[in-house]
Amino acid sequence: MLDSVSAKIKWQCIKPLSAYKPESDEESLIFNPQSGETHLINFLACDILEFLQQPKTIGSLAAYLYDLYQVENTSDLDAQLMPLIEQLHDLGLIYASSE
Amino acid sequence: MKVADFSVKQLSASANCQAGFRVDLGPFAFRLRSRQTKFLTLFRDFYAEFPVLQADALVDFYIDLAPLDNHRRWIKPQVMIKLNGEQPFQPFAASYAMLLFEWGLNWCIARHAEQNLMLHAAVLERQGKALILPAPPGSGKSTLCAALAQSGWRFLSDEFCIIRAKDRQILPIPRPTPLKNQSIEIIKNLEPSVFIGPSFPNTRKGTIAHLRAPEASIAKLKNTASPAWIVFPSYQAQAKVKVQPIKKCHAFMKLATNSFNYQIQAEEGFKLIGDIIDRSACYNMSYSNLGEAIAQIEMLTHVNQ
Repeated sequence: MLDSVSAKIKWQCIKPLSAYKPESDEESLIFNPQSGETHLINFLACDILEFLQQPKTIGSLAAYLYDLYQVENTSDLDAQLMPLIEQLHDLGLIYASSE
Repeated sequence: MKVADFSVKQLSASANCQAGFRVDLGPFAFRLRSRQTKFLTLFRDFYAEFPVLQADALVDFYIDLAPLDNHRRWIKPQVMIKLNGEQPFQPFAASYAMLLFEWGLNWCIARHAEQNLMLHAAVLERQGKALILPAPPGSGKSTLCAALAQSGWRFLSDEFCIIRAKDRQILPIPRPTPLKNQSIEIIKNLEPSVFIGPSFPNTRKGTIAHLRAPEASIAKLKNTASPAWIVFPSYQAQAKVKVQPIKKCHAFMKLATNSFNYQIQAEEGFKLIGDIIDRSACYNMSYSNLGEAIAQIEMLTHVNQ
């Protein structure tokens, strides 16, 4: 469960973020222009970054992903979500938006 | 005119003068100044087919190879190399001048990398399509490349895969291939007619001998090639040849790791490697037998034509 402060934070990905997404792979590559680093990410992280083109709360992100993956039992996804957000934040790929 | 059109005496005279001896390497040109007759004789053998430029032609690299003027001049003479005014290498024994020159030229090329993506890879071509063999030292890349060059592939480069950013074409730079240790005999036995220079023992890579690039490769110095296949070779003693397709993202990361200037190229480098990977079939290949490796490469490059 998110506390009330975390639930209100809106996350957004840095721009411009270049991606390499081969159709044949489940993974993608992301280039971070600010750090100059290239990251290999899985499909979930890729979908999150796409959705976070605009500032979004964790709640709206979770709702989007439930719908995208047609998830009935949401607990697995919920368990992955916040750690993944933290990782993306640590890599400098997303930031807490002031919007 | 080409280098072979100059006698050693003429070449020495030219390399002794202020303007130096200027050679077109394909994507680069250099000016050489030296008074080392033994070195110039070898240089002439290895670069025989390369075009010679006018004395006032613009060049990328200024190379001076000179004897070290110290007390060892008479006992164990040494040479030093200046590259664009810098002296990044310790002096070598004079008899190793050719090796010093080749390493110096590598140093120049690796640092002259602003515009194009540069990979540590051997490259060969057939029907305009390039086979890229990216690999770290010790992977058997040079031996495999030399063997493929003797079996119908056009040799583009042993060390540098230079990819032009504007059109993703690979630029040939068919310099001599430094064969190491057992590879020297392997290539000699494979094709006795090839020209392999003197051996340089006890280097940090063991014994090295240079293989001259095929004349036909240098004749097509300006003919670029499109990336079509990327094979990451790995020599493993006693291993049966094994070829496995590799995921595009993983091939991307391996290629970036083998690049001299991916970090400098930043986002353009990212897009460029993505394009190269999209255009190419990508494989890992482990092998121990050269014949089996060549047969596998023949098969997969015919399948993916």
